[in-house]
Amino acid sequence: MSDWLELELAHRLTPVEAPEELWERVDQGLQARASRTAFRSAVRRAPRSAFWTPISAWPAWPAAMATMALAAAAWWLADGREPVLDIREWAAIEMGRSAALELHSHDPGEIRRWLRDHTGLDVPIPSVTSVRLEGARVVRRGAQRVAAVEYRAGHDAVTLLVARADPQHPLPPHGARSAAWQARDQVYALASSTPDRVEAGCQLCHSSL
Amino acid sequence: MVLERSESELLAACRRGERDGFRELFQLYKDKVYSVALRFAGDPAEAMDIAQDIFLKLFSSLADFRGDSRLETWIFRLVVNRCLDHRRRARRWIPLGDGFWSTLRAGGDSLAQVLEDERRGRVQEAVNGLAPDLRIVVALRYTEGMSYDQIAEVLGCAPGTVASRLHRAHKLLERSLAHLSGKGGADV
Repeated sequence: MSDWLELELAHRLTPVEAPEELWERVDQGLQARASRTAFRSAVRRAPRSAFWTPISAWPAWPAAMATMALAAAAWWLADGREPVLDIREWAAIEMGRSAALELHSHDPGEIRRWLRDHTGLDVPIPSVTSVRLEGARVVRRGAQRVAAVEYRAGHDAVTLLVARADPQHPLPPHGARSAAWQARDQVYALASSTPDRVEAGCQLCHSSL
Repeated sequence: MVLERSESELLAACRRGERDGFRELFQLYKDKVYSVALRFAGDPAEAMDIAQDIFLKLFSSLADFRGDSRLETWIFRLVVNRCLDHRRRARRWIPLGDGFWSTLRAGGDSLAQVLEDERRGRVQEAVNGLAPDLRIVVALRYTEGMSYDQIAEVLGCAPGTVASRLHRAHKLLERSLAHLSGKGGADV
């Protein structure tokens, strides 16, 4: 090899300092992963079909969910207003449900319009996506409404939940590879029939994954 | 010996999930990981994505590190795997920051810096044009200063394979960077 090339490469490809924000991003990813791991370990204890078994046969995790719900109710009573449920809790609940679709459609535009009309939420879905859209429905609890888009990513049944963000409890922004994230004034969460591969649900908007 | 002991203590802290341990390990390797990612990807934003993924993978898979190789070698294996998995996005124009304009206004030595940056950019552009398996070898060799044997250990191949890939990379770079050789053609 020519000496000039060796010098050029050695001189121009020198190491650099990593930007300060790298740690913030890694730390954010660690926190998201920790919460996801706790979330998965809670859900993994029961298969989807075992969700509505008799109370005596319930595994421990619904008790944890019930405790959270009671805590939320207590907070609500103390505060005097309806509690804003964390989108991740919505996702945990949806993971065990098999609710009927209110709109059967494979059309992203139609699903977007329908959800806007029924929830006031804007759920932009790419016109070209590698998943198979099934339709949409509205998840209701009291006055709260959460938009749900149902689709299939490979063999996985996935639900994308969208709700208004709670300014008091912001979620990490998109990019941390989390099963729940916030973008602008809306929060998003994925619930999958295969909790270990919830990332497959990202193919709705990221076809290259 | 002291270093080895502190490294094993650090690993133990990370395996216990201690945030300070993660932070310390990150501090030790952040520049190495980011530098190789940057030289491989040729784009700071993509390098950040790659480096972030590498550290998350590193922290979640520390339990798999059995100590058969040096920790640094194992980390660079993660770097190589992540880089080679990386699909390059559409190329983007990087907006010129304020530094560029203030450099132009300052003149003199700063102008030399602009030319230096331009030259660095051309070398990086030429490296970007290499196939991923050649690019990663170039990054490990010239950014990390690894020997052929060290690169071979990281890549899990024979040193001869490393030599062969570097030879091919050099041939291609010689052609694309001929204008920098000073033998005819316009220099910057």
